[in-house]
Amino acid sequence: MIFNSINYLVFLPLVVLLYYGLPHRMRWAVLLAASYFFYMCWNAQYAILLAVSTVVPYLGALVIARSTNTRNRRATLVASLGTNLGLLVAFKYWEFFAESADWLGARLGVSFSLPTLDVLLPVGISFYTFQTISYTVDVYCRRIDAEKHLGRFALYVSFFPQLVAGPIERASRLLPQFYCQQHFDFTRICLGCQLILWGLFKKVVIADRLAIYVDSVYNSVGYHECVAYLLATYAFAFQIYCDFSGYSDIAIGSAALLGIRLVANFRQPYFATNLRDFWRRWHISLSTWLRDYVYIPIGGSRRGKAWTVVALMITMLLGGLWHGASWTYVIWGGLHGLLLVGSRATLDARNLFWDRLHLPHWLRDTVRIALTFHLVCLCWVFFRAKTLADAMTILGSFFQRSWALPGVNPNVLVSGLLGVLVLAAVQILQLQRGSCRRCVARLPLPVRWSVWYGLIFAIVLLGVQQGSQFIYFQF
Amino acid sequence: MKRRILKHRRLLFAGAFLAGALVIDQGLGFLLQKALPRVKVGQTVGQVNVALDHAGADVLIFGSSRAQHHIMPAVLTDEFGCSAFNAGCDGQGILYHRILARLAIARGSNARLFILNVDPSDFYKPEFPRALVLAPYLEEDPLARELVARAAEPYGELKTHCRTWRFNSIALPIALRMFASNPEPACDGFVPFSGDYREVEFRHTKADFHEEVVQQQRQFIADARSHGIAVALVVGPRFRRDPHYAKGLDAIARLAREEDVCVLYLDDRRYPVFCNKAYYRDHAHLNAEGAMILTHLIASELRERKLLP
Repeated sequence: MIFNSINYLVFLPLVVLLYYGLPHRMRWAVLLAASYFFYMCWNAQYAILLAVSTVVPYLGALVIARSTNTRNRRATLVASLGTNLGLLVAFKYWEFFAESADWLGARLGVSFSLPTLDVLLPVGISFYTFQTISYTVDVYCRRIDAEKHLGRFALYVSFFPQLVAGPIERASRLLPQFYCQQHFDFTRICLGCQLILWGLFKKVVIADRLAIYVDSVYNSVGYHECVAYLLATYAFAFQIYCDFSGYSDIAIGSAALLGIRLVANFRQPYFATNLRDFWRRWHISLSTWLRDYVYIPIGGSRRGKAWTVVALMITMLLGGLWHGASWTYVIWGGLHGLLLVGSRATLDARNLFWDRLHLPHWLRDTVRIALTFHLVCLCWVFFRAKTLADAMTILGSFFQRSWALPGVNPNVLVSGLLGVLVLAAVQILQLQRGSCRRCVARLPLPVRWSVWYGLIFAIVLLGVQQGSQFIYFQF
Repeated sequence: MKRRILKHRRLLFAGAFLAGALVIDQGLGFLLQKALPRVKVGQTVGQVNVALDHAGADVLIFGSSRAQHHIMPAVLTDEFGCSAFNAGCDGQGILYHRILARLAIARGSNARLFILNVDPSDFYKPEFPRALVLAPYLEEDPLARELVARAAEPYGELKTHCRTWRFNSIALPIALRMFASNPEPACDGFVPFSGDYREVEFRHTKADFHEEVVQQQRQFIADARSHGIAVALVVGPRFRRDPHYAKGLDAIARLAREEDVCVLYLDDRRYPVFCNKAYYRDHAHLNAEGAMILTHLIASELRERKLLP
């Protein structure tokens, strides 16, 4: 069951009705049952995996919380994290490691072949594994108390709006909300519906429409020329943003219908003025997770400049690998790491340079935004390309002097462009006034309703019906 | 009391919003429906409208791109002195053509012959969802409605009740093409491919055989025959075949046997002329010269089999 399916549009109101119809003490059970049902719609067997990923950190955290012996606490932490990371490695990375080891062996003249598991990647495993890791570490560091209620903890791990593609929630934020009695709040329901609508618009009208062109180019690398690759790369930048932020909006909106507040995952990332700024705006729940559980624990910027570079590179390489078991993702992460290092090292010089130019603020920011956007697009080539060879072919084509215009379906082009223009208008409004929704809410009723009707009928008329899954579901 | 009034007002508010959505759906759907027949250009509704305008032709040609770019109605007109129109459409499968044929019949087609281009690969990529481009026409024929609902699964039946949904992905072409100039009056639906052979990506992918395609082809033949229209199936040439070719060909032969329908095998095995790369645009499509040769062969076979006098 995916968010942009009619099944979900039936499932969600049923869960909401049941949730508010039952007394508070039973609501966690409704949500847990709904979450497991939601997950089992993909693959029922993997619910066992989800249950194991729940029980192990739950018991581990209880032992850690009760134990006063440092060695025991540490051993339990290692066992708990090891189990969850072991599952992640087995299901997601084993084949990648085996293939890489085989390749390396062949290069070194050593012949060995690691067995492959040949299993399907469980949906959302990277997301819920990171959530359980953060919980276990937080309990170990005594930032939070261990959760005693297995049901509510299971709900924290499997809460359906954010189960398969985040946002990656912290226990300190999400768990207490399951204890609070939520009352049916009409305003909050409206807000949730509006977010779902906006998320759906971004997904089916913009992302899925652009995906038609992007897929046609990136799935047949070698048969196109420079302009086609450039267009497809720009289109992919908007596709992935609208796909993932659309998912996040639907997740946040769905949770809002149940009275649960999820963390914001995006903040106009393509308006970032440098790479550091970009990572403060893009997939915020992952970047803050990586900061809190990788970058800072390994030393961060506390051990001098050289170590900061190492810590940044480790963090970004891991961030890349988190996205997928492929060298293209590792290189994507590595490239971002290098650019971040460069951005950090040259920040003062760049600021001085811009100051000396005496450009108006708006022009300076526009140039910086454009530069950052293009650097991000360059990295997206590795993210989207199927293989390293494909990525290199595409990058190589950027230096060719062939400017033949590609044949683009005008329907795809116009729909996609219209969508991107609407998106840009909304984001500019958000930047200037804080919230676009609040601006709309201040409008007279007929205008306000016209906006929402506009979104609804744009989805019905312009949305791609046989759309694909969300990109981040594969991670 | 105040809370009850507020609750009541909110329910009314939500109800009014939903009612407004329904009204807009009907209104917008009505406007798009009115604008629809005016669109005569473009690959989606424009192509369908022009094809339906030619529903009265003596010979109607159906099939995917391998019909649209391969069979020249002008050659058939010269050979037999009858009117002909090519209703083939890029990327469309049998469901689209069955619905289109039914729509043509519903509009009073008195064709003598339906030529359906079939390809062994059709059974492996049914392209049913693409038939949704015909959703705006579903009121014209009850069976067309049923078939569109099938193409729109899941919840196909429910979707067909939404008037704007029928124009999904078509609304923009309608808006863009409404004011475009009409096509050439002599338009016969054939779109020639020009230029030399071009290598395009050719991937062998694992695919299942779809028995549903055979069923739809069977029904296509039955629909035509029930209105006194003869059917001829055409298997055209390919420069390169996919691995399913032999099995697909068997399915066509089985269908021909069971339905007692005429199949014109005009592939490169029977006509070595089609082994020449010069007649192709890519591995699956002939260029204009190749199309000319193919259509003359179709004409001679039709005459031989007395399908057209």
